[in-house]
Amino acid sequence: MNKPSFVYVTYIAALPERVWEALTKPDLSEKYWFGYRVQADGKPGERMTAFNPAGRKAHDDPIIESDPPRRLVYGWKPLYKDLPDERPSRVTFLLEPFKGQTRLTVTHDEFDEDSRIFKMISKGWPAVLSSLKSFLETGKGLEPSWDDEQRKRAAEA
Amino acid sequence: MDVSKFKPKTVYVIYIATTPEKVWQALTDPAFSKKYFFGFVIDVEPKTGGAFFLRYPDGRVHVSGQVIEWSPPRRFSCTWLVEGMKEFG
Repeated sequence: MNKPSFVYVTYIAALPERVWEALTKPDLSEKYWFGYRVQADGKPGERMTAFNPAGRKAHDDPIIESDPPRRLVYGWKPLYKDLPDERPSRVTFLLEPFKGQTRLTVTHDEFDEDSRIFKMISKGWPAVLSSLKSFLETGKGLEPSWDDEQRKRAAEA
Repeated sequence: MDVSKFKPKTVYVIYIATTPEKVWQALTDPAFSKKYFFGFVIDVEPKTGGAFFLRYPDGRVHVSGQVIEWSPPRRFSCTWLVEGMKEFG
C-alpha cells in the first residue's frame, strides 16, 4: 500500500478572513495563483471552479466542506486531457488564527496508489502557497514556477 | 550517526521573492537571523566542518552542530543537536 498525502504548513501575516477570501475569490486568486481564477466561495455541494489564464476550465470539483474562515474542503480532478486519468483527490485548507496572523495547513490526500498527479501537486503547492503568502503580505504574488512550455501546454489543454 | 545515510523526514520548500545571496545571508548572519528568528541567533563557522550554533536570545546554546556542506549561495547543510537531548542524538 502506498497512498501518498501532501501536507504543507505556512504562517501568513494576514487574518484568516483575508486568507479565506484569497483562496475562494477568483479576482484575488488570479493575482497570486499565476493567473488562475479559482472560485470556491460556494456552499457544500456547490462547485469549485478554476479557469487557467487562457480562459479554459481547469477544475470543476465539488465543495465538500465550507466553514468560513476556518475550514474548506474540495475535490480535485484536473480537467486537462494530457494528465493521467486518476480518481478525484481531496484538498483540505485549515486556517487557524494566531496572534492576528494565520497558520494555514493544506492537506492534499485521497490519491490513487503511486499517483502521478501527486508528484505534480507536490511541486505545485509550495509555489502557489509561497505566492499566496507573498501576495497577502506584500500585495504582490511571485513569478510562476513553471516554464513557458508548460504554460503553453496548459493553454492548449 | 552516519550522516551520509541519514534519510530526511521533513522536507519543506518555499519560494521567496529575493536572491539566493540574500537568503544565504539571512540563514548565516547572526544579526540578520535575529530579526526574523524570534530573537534567536545563528552562529556558524563559515566552512565545511565548522561549528554551528543556534543561540537563545540570551546567548545560551539551543542547538549545536557541525557544518556538513558550505557552498554559498546554493547549499548549506549542518547537523542539528538540541542541547539537553543528547541521548537522542
